[in-house]
Amino acid sequence: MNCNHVNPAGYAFCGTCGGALDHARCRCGFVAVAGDVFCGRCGANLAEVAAGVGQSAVNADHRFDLERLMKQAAQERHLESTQKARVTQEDIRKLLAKRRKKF
Amino acid sequence: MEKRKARVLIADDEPHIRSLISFIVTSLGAEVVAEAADGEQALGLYKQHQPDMVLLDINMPKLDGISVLKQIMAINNRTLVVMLTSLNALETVKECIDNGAYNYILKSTTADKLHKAIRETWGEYMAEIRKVSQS
Repeated sequence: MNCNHVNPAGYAFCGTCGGALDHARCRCGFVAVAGDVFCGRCGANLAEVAAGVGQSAVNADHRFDLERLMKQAAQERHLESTQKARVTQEDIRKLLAKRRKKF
Repeated sequence: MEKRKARVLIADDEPHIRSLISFIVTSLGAEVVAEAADGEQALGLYKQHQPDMVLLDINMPKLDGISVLKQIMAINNRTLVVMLTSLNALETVKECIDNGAYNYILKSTTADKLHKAIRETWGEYMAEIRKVSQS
């Protein structure tokens, strides 16, 4: 496409000259504008989609993949619980008393 | 510190932290034999100087402190390694202790408390060494 017309998001072909636009298609079916990093519909990283990394929780028919959503929720819960397990110097002292190596 | 002068290696990628620790260690009567700005350098300097005590940061370029700790323990598991870090995740603390770190000191403390923690660690370590050599 070389007519320099600025096309709106979602256009796969130029509205003026009909030329194919340099676009990225997400696995959910959304066509992103050139230069977009994330999908405007499902939020997937377009570079990862192109490289085949991970999978979106939204299928090509726009339905949610419940199994994948459950997995994502479990991962987020795990991450949250890990992030919450913070210790103070006093906690470390108690932990050392139990676990420290002996010479 | 005890009568015997401890030889200390300091590993931290932040120069101002190294300066502070070096000041504390020197004021305790120990000798700073070397300072490292990354994990690889720390390991190289450890092999070169064989210090009594290593004050080791975790987040460092090239090689992280936990990997350095494991390699030091593989070389000499009686080395006194003290993790000195701002990481306060329980899993990280457990991993360091389980891999032979003698103490784990959080950087998010005052210089006075840091001074006290390093002094007490050295005292406890020497007392334990004496106990083992007497038995």
